[in-house]
Amino acid sequence: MSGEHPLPLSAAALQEIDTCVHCGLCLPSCPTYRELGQEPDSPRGRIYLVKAAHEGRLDPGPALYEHLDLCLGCLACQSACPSGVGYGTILEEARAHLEPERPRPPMLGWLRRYLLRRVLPEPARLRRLARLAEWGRRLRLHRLAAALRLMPRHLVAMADLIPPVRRRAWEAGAAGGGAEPGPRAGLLRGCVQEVLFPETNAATRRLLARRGVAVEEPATQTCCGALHAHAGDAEMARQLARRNVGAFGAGKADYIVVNAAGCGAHMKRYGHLLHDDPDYAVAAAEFSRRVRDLTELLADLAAAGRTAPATVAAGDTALYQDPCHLAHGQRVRQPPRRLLAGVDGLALAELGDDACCGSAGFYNLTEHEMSLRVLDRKMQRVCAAGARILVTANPGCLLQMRLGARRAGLDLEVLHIADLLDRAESACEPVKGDGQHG
Amino acid sequence: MAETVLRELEHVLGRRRVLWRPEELLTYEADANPLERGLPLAVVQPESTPEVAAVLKVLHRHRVPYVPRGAGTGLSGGATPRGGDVVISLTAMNRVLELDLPNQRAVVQPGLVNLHLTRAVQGDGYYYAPDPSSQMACTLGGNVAENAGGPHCLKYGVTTNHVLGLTVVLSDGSILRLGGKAPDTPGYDLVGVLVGSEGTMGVVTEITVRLLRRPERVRTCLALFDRVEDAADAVAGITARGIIPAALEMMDRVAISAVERGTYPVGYPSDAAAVLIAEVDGLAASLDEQMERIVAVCQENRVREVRVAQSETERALWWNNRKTAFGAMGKLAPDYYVQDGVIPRSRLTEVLRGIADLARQEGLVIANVFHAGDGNLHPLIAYDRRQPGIVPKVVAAGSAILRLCVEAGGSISGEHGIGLEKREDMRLQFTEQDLAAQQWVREVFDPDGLSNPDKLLPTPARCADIKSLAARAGTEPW
Repeated sequence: MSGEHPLPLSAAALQEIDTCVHCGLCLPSCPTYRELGQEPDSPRGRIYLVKAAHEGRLDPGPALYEHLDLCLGCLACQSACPSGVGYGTILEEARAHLEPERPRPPMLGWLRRYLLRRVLPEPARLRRLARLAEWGRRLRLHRLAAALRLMPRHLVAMADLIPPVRRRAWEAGAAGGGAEPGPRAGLLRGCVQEVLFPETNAATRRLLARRGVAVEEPATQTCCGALHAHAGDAEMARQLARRNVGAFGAGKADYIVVNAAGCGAHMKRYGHLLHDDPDYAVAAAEFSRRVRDLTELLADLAAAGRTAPATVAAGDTALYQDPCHLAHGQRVRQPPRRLLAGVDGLALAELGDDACCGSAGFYNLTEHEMSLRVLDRKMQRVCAAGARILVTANPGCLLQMRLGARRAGLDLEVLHIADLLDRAESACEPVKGDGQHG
Repeated sequence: MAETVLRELEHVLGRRRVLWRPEELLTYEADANPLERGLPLAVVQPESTPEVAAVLKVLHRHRVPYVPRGAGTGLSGGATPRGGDVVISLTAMNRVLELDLPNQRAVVQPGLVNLHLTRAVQGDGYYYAPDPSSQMACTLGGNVAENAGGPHCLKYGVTTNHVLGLTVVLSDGSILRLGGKAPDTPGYDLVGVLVGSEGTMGVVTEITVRLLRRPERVRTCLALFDRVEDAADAVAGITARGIIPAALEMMDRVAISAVERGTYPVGYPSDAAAVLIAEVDGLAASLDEQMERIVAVCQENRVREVRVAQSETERALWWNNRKTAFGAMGKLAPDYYVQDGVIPRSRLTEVLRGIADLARQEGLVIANVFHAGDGNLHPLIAYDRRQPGIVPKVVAAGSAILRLCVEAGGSISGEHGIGLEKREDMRLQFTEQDLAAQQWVREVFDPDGLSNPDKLLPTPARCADIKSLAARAGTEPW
């Protein structure tokens, strides 16, 4: 790293830039290039611009960050790249360096900092805010905001699709059981997941318990920090990573299990994120090695003979949509498909294309026009595939796909894979009096 | 004047499809051959033939040269701007205009990605045969410009064998329709002239291509050799027995080390000197016997191990590994310079030895990836451009390799085109008279020299120079 460079980059990022030979094989995998067909909004073009800024050939101002802003960060280019260029590393570093220089309207800047630094890391505060938003929704304030043009219309549509926010956290009670005691897994509850989709976390606990996995939920855990890293708030991302490494400390659980693809992809990179922190480097690398997406862990358990019977009404068809940060970020593609294939009566449809849905963290708020273009293109393929259920493995994709189904006028049930599997497994269990498994 | 041109272009296409901001232009300064760069005046993105014609009329009026560009995956600098010119980006013209499956034809726009055409017809049992290794990204317009080949062109022929008709916009904005849907049209074969003209005769805006029926079955085998010579002898042996493989590909030790560190490692042993991929396709009944004969030839030539693909997944992995070999060069060094020489198959061993000697003398790392069946070599020189003095050395080594190819009775380009890179090397293969003839043909289509100037032909081959040269030689052509 050198102070002379207008855009300083770490040795790791420069190594990634050097690995790019400008071959262009990534272009068709990039959702924004597919929409625009323009080089500056392609992975190759963005890498070229970052490199040019580093070399002093381009002013690292709006000319650079506008094209980086339009990047979904879906990492499809990483899957397409023959040299395995770590595009995500380049993007995150460039964004982190550009962030402090960026002019923003004071109100927006404050809101952004408040959300990233004060809300996401504090589950109780996030819940209170979500409850407040829930009341606003009940009073239809979001519609008023849209009518006054204070809020884009698609966000109103999305607000309508968010499930009601519960007053209290879901009770973490053990369920199922019966299997031989197996490995121990620490569950990352996630910030958004726990507040908006607590039922998915409950389903996750039941799926693991049925397989004899002891689920532990350290109380000091916090938001994983993926959104911070993607938004260029590297310092906060590191702080959150340290807190989680501490919370899930070494020797406690065999695995750290996550049911949100974006969180899992980021936590698998804690080792990289904290590599220069003498107090945390080793523990963070060890932490990353234990991280598993829920589907990855369930497939591994199945291979070891730990399964549970699952059934749905015969002839039901499910379409699995790869969350980018599972397929590209973690290279996990087959485990979810294998799990779905194991459900009795469930037929699987394929999209034949793993393009991003346009959710991408905050992207559908900040770049909503491109987000919707990407979504609508995706929905054309979903329509053609003709399934009744769409299954995914990330809360952001889930909401975005629900929005897509509404925009396309499709009668499509959009579910997290944990919810579908849990429902199918519950259907095989003897009916219990308390109806706990719904 | 630049301002006026930009304003007129925006008037034709609207502001969103005319790029002129410095950072936008920066990303168009090179294609997949980053040895040379040039900043264009603007990049325009037309969506139809009439729009291309309107753009070219503006440029013609102001005598501004232009560069047609597809995905920018070209390896010879064919889409590299020279500075101050206008890039005609055809990526928005990416539709299939017409599908005529009973007659096995399709009419497509030039920005359509090669593999996307096959995807559009494979459900009906058809495909588009030429398969450059960059087929997941490169466009059919670019394929036409470069007369692109690919591993399966050994049996099925290169792009020109699959193009039946073209719509071309000339520099003055006039629109020509060449060829047609029939296999042969009366008169001069102007489609043949345009295919491989590297964008020097105008902008192709519609392409009528031939589609083939998917072969009933495909069988693929992989053979590892301890000596490159043995692999080369096996290649000669296979073709000598009258087997026409659908593809016959080879990679040497250096190339293997790159692909094994890339995205699709097969698990090749690091000490293997060469790997050969042989594929046969056609009626199922005949394939087992052909495969047995190929395996037998490999065994006669001291193969270390030969394996037949047991599943489509296994076959796909081998091909993904092979087809991403150029990109995987990034694992060896930040830059690479690829040659595209052609040699007679029978001289393979000798030329490879020559390349190895050159690498040793110059202290360069050279990987060899090639279409062994048709003698199309792709020596890849891996280097780091930040190393002082390396670029001229690499370029000189590239020329030396091409000289080896020509001396062995071959050619300086099989499928990547001449572009900016190998213009001077054209002299290795052609006399001034030959080059003059090519220049005259070019000028029939582009008399003002606006269409991708400085590409394909060596620099002094301007019309006036040629005429004076020809006059001096006493062979006045008119």
